[in-house]
Amino acid sequence: MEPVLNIHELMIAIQVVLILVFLFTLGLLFYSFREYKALADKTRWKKLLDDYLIKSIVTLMEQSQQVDPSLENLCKRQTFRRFFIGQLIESERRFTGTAAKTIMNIFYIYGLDKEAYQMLSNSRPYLIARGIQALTVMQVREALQEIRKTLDHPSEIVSQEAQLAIVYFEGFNGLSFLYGVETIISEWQQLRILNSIKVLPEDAVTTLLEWLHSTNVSVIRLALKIIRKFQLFEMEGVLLERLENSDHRVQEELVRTLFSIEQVNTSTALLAYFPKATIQEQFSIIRGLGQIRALDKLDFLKEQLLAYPNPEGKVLIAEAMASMGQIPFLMELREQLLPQDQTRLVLNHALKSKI
Amino acid sequence: MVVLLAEDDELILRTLEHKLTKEGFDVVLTRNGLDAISIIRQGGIDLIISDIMMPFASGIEILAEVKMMDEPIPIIMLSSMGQEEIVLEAFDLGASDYIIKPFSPNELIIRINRLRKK
Repeated sequence: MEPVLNIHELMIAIQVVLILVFLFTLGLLFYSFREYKALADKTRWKKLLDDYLIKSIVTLMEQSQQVDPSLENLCKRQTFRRFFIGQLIESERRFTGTAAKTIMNIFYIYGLDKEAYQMLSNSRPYLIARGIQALTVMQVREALQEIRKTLDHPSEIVSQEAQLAIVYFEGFNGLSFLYGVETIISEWQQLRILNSIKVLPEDAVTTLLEWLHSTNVSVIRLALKIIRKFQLFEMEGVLLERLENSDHRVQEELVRTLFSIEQVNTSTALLAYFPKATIQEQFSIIRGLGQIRALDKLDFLKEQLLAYPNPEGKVLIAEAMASMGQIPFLMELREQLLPQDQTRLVLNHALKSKI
Repeated sequence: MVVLLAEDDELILRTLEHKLTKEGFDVVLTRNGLDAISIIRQGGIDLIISDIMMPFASGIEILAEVKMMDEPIPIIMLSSMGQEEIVLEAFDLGASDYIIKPFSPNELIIRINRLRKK
């Protein structure tokens, strides 16, 4: 039987493998060196920019800034310009007043607005999002039209940043994209948007009513959060009507909102709905009664404390009663119950955390 | 006047250090709560500016330490948005003032000067 490889072929194969290993090592070394250099550059740049920003904020706050030649020189490199933008965004978030204006001024005098615009047409989503963020934080209102074009971007980080930018510039009116949004707006994004809305226009209620009927659950949840934030008491009746016809994913939020804009009959209406409510909704109603200290509903809670089938719900009932100042009653009840009684165990647990 | 500045955000720490020095204060810096407490115990501090959330010991723990002193040092708390409940707790413990981040360094100086006049 002949060998698969002769000596000559074996030697060539070994040489090829060695060359490949050598090339791979060389590539790895080159890559590591590049990464190291990038990291070293960023560390150096960070120190340079921090010093420059501190000096600008502290000493030049009321004066017009002058371009630093060494920074201007570094700005010829795109990686530096992008790093600079990132540092400015981070710094702007820490300060207000003249300090924030100083940072914005720096953004313009180094022409970083042009770089931020260019980032909007980049193919990498995180760079587009960074560009939007920069133009928003630095209040480049003229960029709004360009930013609006990225609202339907397939990447979530881009579309979310665009949503936030539009609301930042236009307030509540900037939320008009909610009419057409098909994707789910995350809870975190809803909170960011909510935080950006400072005032409501006069016709906001009409718009909110439309969003409450949206087919997108996250739009309804955001509308409810807005109602809570701005305490739109006039929406109570509409929300009560929506209770039975809402998607189960919004009902809890709905109950929470109702307690937050509570009117004379809100808790009575919620108790009438209680038997039909889902367990999570019932929990929200119990929690809400405790939060608003609904003393007129104590009889209901006392009755439910003994009759409610779910131990988690019982704990919530006991906690709600404790927050209404009913600890002596709960302690007395505990003494009357048999040691193995589930309600007694619940009371032991609830009172332990309240006393 | 010696000001203890306790803050773990480097940019805020160094900006305020420069600003306070420029305004004529002697500044002692620390980046964590535990060191802040140890500096306070050594004495010689006239005013404290402290972030609420810090490594090892929070601004609230610093406040509790200051409250136990015979002559409590005025303390200005730096807090972030959404920390309203902690701010209330800080006032309960005797904080003199608080500033919400993002903030204006100029406003902080005005508040310090107001405290000095008291």
